[in-house]
Amino acid sequence: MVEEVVIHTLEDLKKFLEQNNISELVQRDQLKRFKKFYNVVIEEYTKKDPQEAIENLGKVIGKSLSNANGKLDKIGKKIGDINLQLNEHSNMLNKALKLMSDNNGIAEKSLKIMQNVAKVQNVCLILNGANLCATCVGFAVMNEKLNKISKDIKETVKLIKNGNEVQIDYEFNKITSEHANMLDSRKTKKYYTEEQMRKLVDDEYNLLVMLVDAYKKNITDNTDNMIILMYSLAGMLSVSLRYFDEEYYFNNRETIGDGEIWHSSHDKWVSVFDSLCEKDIIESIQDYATFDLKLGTMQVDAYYLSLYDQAKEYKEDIEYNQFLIKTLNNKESLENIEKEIKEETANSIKMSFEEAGAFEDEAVAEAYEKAMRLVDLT
Amino acid sequence: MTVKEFLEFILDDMDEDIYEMLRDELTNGYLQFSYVEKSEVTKGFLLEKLHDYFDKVELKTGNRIKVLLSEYMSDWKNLVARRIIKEEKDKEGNKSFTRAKKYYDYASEIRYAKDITLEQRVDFSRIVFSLYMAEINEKKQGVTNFDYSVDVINIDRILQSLKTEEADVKIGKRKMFNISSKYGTDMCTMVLTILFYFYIKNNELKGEY
Repeated sequence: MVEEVVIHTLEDLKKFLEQNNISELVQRDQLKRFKKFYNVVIEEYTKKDPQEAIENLGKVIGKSLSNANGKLDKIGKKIGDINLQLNEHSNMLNKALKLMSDNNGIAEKSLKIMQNVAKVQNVCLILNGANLCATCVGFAVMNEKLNKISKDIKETVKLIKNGNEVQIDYEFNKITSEHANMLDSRKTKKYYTEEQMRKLVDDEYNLLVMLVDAYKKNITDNTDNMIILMYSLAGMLSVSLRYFDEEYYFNNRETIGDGEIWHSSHDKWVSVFDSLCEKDIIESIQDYATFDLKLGTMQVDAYYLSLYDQAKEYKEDIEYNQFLIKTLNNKESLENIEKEIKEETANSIKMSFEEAGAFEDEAVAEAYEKAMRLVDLT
Repeated sequence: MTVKEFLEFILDDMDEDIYEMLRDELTNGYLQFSYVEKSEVTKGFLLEKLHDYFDKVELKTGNRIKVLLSEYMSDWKNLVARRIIKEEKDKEGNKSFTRAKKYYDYASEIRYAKDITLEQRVDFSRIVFSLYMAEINEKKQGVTNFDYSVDVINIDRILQSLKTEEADVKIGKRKMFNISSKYGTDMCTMVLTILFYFYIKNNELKGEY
């Protein structure tokens, strides 16, 4: 966990300096991706020439990152359905950096030293976790995190099963393992059928509706978990729905002809993302951030706006995907586009690292390979 | 804390367009420039003028800037307190504090805490401004809820409303904010309101949707 630190004097800063008396500072952009790295040198403590150290660090980290991010942005504006992949790849960059810094002996702590508030990291967990729902490996990572809080999840779900309400039998764990299986089957090319996908979408949708309801009624004290659950599930639903749309469209396009080309429940499924943006949920999140997390007004803004934007993004991802499917009108083209995006992004990242001279360092090269494999980008 | 530190906190990182709005608001009846045009007033000029202004207020009222800030917070707290509805009943007849009351209490806590930072004063300002906007919108009836976002706060409406507020006196009528005294505490509160508002505006976080 990240510690919150208050600095009054330079003496306080001293304990955070690494070798060569450098401390690293990271600035994030609105989507929580790393935007810029700063190397902070405290002048009165420097004995050696920090220039060299800064240059090396700066080259590897700063340049490659801003380049990669810049290129990712350009690609992102080219075609519609990019959001998911973009976030995934910047997470890859984050991981690569972490691995690099581990190998270079720069403590991870120093990367996060000036980060805002400890609890805001929760947002990062949610956002990172949510965006990892689309690949097997990514989902496994998120699943592990969810498993750690699974005991609480079971408690939460139990509380919701009220005698007065209809018994909903699906537990969260069942859904997550089903989702994982679905992703795995894509990896092995033994794709889920249209019916299997529809069932998965329906289950995830129903559970999410139930969770949102429970959250509104304040049934559980464990708001933290509830928020993570809701947004993780929303992420999963967004992914499943996109895959389902593809299956459904290509299977039924000819039969339907000019009629409504998407499943009749599609609007109902998508409406749950709107419900996450409703006034009472947003107010509830603001209250949680102010009174429980005890954040200042600007941090509360950052917190609730990130979650609000995330929910909107999920919906938009689905709509972009529909547009893409319709426009391309061809399953192979769709797959090719996705493949192309992956390749182009992988190449641009590789180029940026090369430009920055990162591969001259063996440890960095190894870490890079490892990270690329982790997120399926080789 | 000195006047200089306070002004630097407010104005140092201000964006150009926000600065221009601040300048226009302040020159609209609170600060007078006798020789230069409004448009020629740079940040440096404004800082000097504000510094002189606060010096004069300190001399006139006998209070240093820290006390003036406390007075500002007191004024706002008392202003907003009058129209907060404390409790509400839900469907099952259970009583609970309204959202407005919870945030009002939160702001009060900041007001009475010792050694608060400028950031905490900003938090306080943000909350009372939002609550007051809700009160204005409810036409001075009680409020149970309010909108937390920054873009709801309208500085012109707030200032307009402050000028018409009446004090709770037992005999006769009196305005709550006496703006005839140019360097008095009431006027100072209004100037501070403007400064805090534009600080908040400058640091506003906007989502993507």
